[in-house]
Amino acid sequence: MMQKKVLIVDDSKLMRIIIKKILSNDDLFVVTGEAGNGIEALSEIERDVPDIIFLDIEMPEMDGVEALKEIRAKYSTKVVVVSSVAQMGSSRAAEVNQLGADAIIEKPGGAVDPTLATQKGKEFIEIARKVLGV
Amino acid sequence: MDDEFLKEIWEQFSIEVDEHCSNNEEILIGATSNELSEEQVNSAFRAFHTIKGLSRSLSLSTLEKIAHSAEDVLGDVREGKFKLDDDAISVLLKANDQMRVISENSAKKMFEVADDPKELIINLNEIREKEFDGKNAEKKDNETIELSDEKNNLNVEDENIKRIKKNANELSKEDSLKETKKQNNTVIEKEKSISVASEVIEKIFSRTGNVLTSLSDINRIINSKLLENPQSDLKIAKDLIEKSNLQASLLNEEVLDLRVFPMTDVMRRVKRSGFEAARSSGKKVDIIVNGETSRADRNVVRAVTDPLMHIVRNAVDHGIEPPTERGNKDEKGKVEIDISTSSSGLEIVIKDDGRGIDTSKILEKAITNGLVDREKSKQLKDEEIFDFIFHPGFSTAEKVTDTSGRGVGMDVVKTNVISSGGSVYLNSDLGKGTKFTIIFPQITNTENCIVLESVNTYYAIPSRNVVSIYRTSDLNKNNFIEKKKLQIENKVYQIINFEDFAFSKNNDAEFNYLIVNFAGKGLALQYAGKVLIRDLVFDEPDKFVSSLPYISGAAISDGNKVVFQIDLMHLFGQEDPQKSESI
Repeated sequence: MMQKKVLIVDDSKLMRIIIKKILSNDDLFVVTGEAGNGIEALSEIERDVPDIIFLDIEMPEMDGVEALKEIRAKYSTKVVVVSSVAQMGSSRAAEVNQLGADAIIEKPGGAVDPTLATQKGKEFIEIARKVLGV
Repeated sequence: MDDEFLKEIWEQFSIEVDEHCSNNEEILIGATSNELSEEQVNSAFRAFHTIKGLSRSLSLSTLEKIAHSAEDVLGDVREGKFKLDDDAISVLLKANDQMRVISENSAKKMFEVADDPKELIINLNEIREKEFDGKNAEKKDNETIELSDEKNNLNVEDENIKRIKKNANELSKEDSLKETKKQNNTVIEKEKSISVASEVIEKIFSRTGNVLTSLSDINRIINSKLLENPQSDLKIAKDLIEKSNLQASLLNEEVLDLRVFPMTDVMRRVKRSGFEAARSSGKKVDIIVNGETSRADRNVVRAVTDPLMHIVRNAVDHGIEPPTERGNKDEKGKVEIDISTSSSGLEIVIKDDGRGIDTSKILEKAITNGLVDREKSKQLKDEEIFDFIFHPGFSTAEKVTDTSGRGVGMDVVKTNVISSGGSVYLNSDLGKGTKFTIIFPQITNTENCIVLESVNTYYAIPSRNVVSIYRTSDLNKNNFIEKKKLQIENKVYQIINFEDFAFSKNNDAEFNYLIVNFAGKGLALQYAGKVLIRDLVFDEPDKFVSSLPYISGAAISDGNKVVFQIDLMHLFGQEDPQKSESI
């Protein structure tokens, strides 16, 4: 099986740890890069183009919306926007959709509750697989 | 879901919430004197938003609720719906504090520990509701204009971001190797620093000091031998010692650097408490800090925190007048704190543009309290009058407030500063304002001392505390005005006999009188014997040493001699507090 390279972009290291942990349950994914904002993300992509990017919206320096514009202009990598619930129905979410995000998913909640985490983790992985078409 | 992973998650959670809260606190306190920039509003909004998201991930519903409400307030500010006033800032700061506490406590237990945040949430929501009242209709018109301006700014920002991005990309091309290594900025930065227990640093600190003093001992012996016989082979040894000395001094400087911290965190707390004091007293005050990134020894940073908070609160409570009483001055008061470092040490100046201190009021109080008699008080200089403020139990404040003015405080300020080797002065211009100056000498591990000998036992007093030394032959009858009192140049010093507290007696015919100054007081130490000068390293006193009266530490000198450090605090505290009197 060909593994899929993943870039995780989130200004919170904690969120990156959690997403990494979720993805570690599926051998399909291998995390090849992490970035704390849009600018770092772009240089990470230039270094090693991933198959899929998990992108946060609210970040310092360059936010997810800006980063998405840049990514879409240059790369065909799949982009999954990871957003908080409140944003999922907001105008920003619509903007992200228009800019060509492949999916928008809720930030993984209940990470320390094992059952909830498994359930949320499952959703997370399902969507990621669907976006990649595997 | 293993334990290690959970532990890592909770630790990281607490670190991140703390970072965001510190960031918010700084921005919010800044907002009390200057309107927030767009970037600052964004940054605070993002911080609350991120805390909300993180709390959700760890199922901390209370924390999530608080963060959510705070985020909504900042969201409205971001959209230009209203501006933050002091009441709103105070509520946001409270929310910020509470979030920090919940995160810390929860991280320890690995589940949410929080009180019911109902009132806080109501207060946060009130900020937004209040702003939608008709009262602000007029204000809103103005804001619409500003809003359209802000849109232009936004475009400029876009350009800026593009430029930064371009630079960043170019940089990454030039330096692709470095970039490859740079998996993650934060990770690398954290790896660059390691944490070391402070006791280890203390030990290294005292050891390097001991190496330096040994070298200086050897150097002194060689020099005296060379004086006897300049042709001696010791010249080679002298060169070597000098080289080692240079290396040891450089090492010492680096070790000193390990103990040094920026004042940033302390100053944030000081600003915060000043802000709270202004709010509860209904005054308008700008609290300005310059040089908060100055670095100081961690003991000094610790020792200066409470005094600074007290002085600033005091300035706001008693210094700055209510807006209606400020006459020609700006309605908004100002408390300015300047921090600077130089080779001689750390200097902190706190000045306010308030009502100043009336010397005649202080004098009256001092006379009533029996600190000085009316006759003598006429000759006091201003600085001597101001010094009464630091006297225990002295306060001229007519009103008692929550935060200061209970007649305690300024003496504690002085004691705190002095016990860490600093000094504090006050100056005031009636009607114009008051200025405090706190000075801490450069912290060194070696202290230049005057060493007194008494039958093979040695006692040391820091040279900086010894103003002058007189021999009996330098003095005449007129100097000895009464029993146990010595008068030199208009100052009267109580004479303390060295033998009263030293172990043993000397039988030298002639006495030395050391004029010792400490905490603004002076006394004359009567001593018969040799006076030496040495650089010493004092270790923390062990059980035996701390049981000795008048002794606060011990050092080794000249190879194997124990030198006791005379406890000046004790020596000066035991006697009448006003040892030196002006004539």
